[in-house]
Amino acid sequence: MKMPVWFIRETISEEYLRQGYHPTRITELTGLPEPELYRLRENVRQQTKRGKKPAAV
Amino acid sequence: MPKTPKVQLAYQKYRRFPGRKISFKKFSRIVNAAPNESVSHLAQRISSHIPTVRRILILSGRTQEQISDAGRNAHQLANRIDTYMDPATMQWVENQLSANQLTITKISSRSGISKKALRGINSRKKLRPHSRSSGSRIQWKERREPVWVRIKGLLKARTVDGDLKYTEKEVKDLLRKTGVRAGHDLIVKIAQQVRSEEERASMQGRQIPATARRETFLRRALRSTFEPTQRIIRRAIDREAAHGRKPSKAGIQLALTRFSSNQPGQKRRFLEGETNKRKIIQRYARKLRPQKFNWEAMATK
Repeated sequence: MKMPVWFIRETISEEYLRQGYHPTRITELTGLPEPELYRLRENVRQQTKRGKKPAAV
Repeated sequence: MPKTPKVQLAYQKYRRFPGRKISFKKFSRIVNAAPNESVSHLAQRISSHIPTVRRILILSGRTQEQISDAGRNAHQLANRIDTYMDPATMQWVENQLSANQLTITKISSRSGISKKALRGINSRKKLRPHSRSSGSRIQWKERREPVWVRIKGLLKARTVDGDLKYTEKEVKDLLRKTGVRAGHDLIVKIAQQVRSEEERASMQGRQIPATARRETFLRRALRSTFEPTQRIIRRAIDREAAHGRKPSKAGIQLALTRFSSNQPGQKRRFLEGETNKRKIIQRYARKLRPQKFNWEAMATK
């Protein structure tokens, strides 16, 4: 699978955000900076129901 | 003392009053005393009493106001700090007042003379003009001086070849990175002192304009990565915002379009597709417990 690392990192972070993990925890896992993760979380929230967090796994 | 007829007449007039009288010699010394001599000093000098001296002075035509003024002035003069301070200290204080380098509070704490007395000395000798506002200016200078020294150092810095190292704008950016704020005007002002006109002119061409910086960044990003253009644009915006600019998305898009149209042989941009995302999730994030993702090792491959 030949894909850019940034894309892999972002996709995984997005998936974990969707699963309900906190950005601080995801930073530890994927190394993405936290401000970036907060921005991503907003995107994820807008894609799902507005303002409602998805249930944690 | 010569017996002038005017003094003699006055003495005769004085003699007509009842009570004990002083001698003509003493009388003439009181009448001929300098107008700025105080009554108490005069009484002490000729071994007489203050009321006697005052009475005779009034008799000789001096007014009560003149007598009190002379007394007050003499008292102030006698009590003035500069009349009984150690001359070396006074000299130091006067030098400091005229040098305008220390605030009056600091001169006071170092010399042991009160601020009020220092203001008195200053107003008499006119050593420091605008003494009220000069303190705040000196304090401001003390606060800002380290910055001026740093600016001077950076402006004077040279490479091994002997050329100047930084442009004026680079000095500003370097200082900003260390959290020191210095305006462009200030740096220009110091540069005018530190550098000659020729040197300043030689540095003009080295200043890289913002549009050139943006184009360099875009060229590198297009050539060495296959990131999608939207991502490059976002990075460009973040990058320029960090330098204190406010770039517009449309402006960068325009630069990118204009630029990429005459750049043959570009890499194909990566497309962020849902299929790719699904593949990644299946491979790396399918376990229930999230796993640490060793992206650093991956990036070096």
